[in-house]
Amino acid sequence: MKKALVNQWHIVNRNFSLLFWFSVLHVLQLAFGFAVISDGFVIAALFSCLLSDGYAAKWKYYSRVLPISVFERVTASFIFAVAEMLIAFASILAASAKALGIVNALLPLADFDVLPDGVFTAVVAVLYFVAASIITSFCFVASHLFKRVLPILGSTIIIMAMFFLLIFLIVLNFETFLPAFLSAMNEAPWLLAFVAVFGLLLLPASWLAVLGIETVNNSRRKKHFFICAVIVLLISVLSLGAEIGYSYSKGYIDLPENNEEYLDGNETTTQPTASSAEVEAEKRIMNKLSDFLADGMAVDLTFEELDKRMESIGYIREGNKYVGESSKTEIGVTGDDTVTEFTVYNKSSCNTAVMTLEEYDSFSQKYRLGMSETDFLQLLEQENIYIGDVTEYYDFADGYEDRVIVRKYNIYIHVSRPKLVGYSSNAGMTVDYHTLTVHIADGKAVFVKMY
Amino acid sequence: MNAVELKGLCKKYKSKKSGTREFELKDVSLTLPYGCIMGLIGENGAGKSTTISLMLDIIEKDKGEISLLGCNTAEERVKAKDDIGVVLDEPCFPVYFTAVQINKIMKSTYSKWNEEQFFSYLERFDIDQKKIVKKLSKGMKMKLSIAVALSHSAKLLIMDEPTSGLDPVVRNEIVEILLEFTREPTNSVLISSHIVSDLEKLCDYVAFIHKGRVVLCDEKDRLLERYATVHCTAEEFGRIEPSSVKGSIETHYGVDAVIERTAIPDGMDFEPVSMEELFVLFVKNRHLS
Repeated sequence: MKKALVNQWHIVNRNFSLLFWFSVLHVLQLAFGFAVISDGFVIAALFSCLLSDGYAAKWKYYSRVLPISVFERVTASFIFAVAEMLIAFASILAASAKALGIVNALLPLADFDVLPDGVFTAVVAVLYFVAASIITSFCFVASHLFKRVLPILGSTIIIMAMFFLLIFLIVLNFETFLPAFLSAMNEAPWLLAFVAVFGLLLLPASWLAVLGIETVNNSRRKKHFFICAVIVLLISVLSLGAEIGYSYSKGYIDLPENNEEYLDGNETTTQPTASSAEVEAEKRIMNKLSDFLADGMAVDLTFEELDKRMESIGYIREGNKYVGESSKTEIGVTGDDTVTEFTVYNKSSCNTAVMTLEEYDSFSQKYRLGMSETDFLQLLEQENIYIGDVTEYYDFADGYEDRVIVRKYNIYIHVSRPKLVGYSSNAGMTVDYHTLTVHIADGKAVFVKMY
Repeated sequence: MNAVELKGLCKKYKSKKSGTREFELKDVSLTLPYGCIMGLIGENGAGKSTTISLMLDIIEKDKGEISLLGCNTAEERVKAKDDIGVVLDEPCFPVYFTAVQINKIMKSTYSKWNEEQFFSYLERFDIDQKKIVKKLSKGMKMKLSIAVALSHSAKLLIMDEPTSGLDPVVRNEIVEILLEFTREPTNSVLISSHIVSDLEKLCDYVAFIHKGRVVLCDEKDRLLERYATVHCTAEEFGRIEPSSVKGSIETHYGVDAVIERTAIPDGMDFEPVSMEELFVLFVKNRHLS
């Protein structure tokens, strides 16, 4: 048996290598959120086609003249066929996970009222998975039974089914989808580049690899696979568009014209641009400081107590300032026996933040961390803080665009809007990232950061 | 002791469409002693490949007995295949494999696989080890098959049309290789071909298969001694004992016939028969009406 297994292994090794690399490719596709809805299915179908040829009929014939018993040969073939099927099935699973994400992303566009969104999405996703699995399994089994014709038919059915399903989902809310899609593509050229590079190059490259396989060496099949590749490519582009469209319709993609409504007619000044490393360092410091300050700093804080607190977040006092992690940020402190003034100066952004402890104390009681943006803005209104003229426009190098809200008491509130900074197409969801920084001007200010 | 013994081997093929009998191998019996080379001669479709397929259990026999290297059952023959080198009319290795990869497969397949010998054959046959099978010429593919068949200390070589479609130089080379192989007294070869000239150089025994039947099976030299060719008129041909005539063709110029030397009438000219004449006249055996 060992002999037969080793023998079979060498023969199917090529298929395994290919399966392995396709799996890697597929995982990469998923990891990077490529909107390739159906490649897993098609690849599975392809493998079933390959397996239908086995490792060439001639070899099967020849293997009978080798000193391997029928039982050994059949058993070894079976073991490897099952292994190959499992890998193909894993590919289906991966593709289904992807499909689930896509369906999840697309269904809200359809605005179904029949069932709650979550339930409906789950039902459709399961049905989708089951249907695709059945078709692919059918294709797989058929390929073994009928060798040539049905796998081709099967893979065609799968591709067409995927295509029509996608079209169906899109058409359900065509009016929402198309403008969103076009607009997103128009306004985000990097997405076009993304599609161009990964959609137009990577996929055909993988298909070409498939075409290079020994068993796919007749021109009719090449033509068939080429057509499949084109269809898959179209589906990929469309599904990517659907995801973008959805993101746009949900406001996760922030188009420049939306910002203009905030900026229009206002004086805009551009602050010196910080490098992303500096921005990161600044963020870290702000985090620590806000945590530190929010931790209920007492009004009559002694220098000794403040030193301890500052040391706990990595700052050491040198004279009347604290020096810590970032050379860009200096923290000044004044007072006689107790601390009366606390200044944060950030060289990179040229921001100075000063506040009295009394001011901080009263402010921090009201504006706790973790508050939603809406709640926060409501609180500002209650405190007669209004969203008014923009006097400053700050644009970090990393692409965060912050609009500035001005308070009548010269309190500058920096609110970075929800941004599409993380994008996981696996789940078809965007990740919101709120950064709320409050500056109190007039020589005294506080920094608060909110996620 | 015989390397190959076939007794009353039968196989019927039926037409898939009509269900009628399409081909029948009838009562094939052969004996190949150790250390000898036997040629299976027959026209295309005579049943040579079917006989070989039956011997190797590639197809199932309807009736008869097969003994290869003393193994009589299919189960025993699986083990015996370790000592049998097979060359089929078309090399059946996966086309994208190189000779090096084929070596790996065979190493795990044959218990007595001799890697060094295989590579020395590759060198001798001038086969590029890194070239995939698909890119090898037909002659090279055949040489590769022969290299495989000769590299696991086989005692019996079974070759189905190894020289068909090859140029005379390569064919001659293959003949030399086989002669070299049979220098070892225990090594035997069963080779089928319709290129009779090759078999004439090579074989100790010859078996003629015609329409699924073995019509003649004997030592080559004995056949050549026993039969002769006569070129005579129809009248002269009428004087020959019909049972001694093994094959004849009547032309507008007279009759060409293969007859037993003992039955040649006195005074009639005759020539030593060649294997090719013997084969052609056996197969054709036709007369003008």
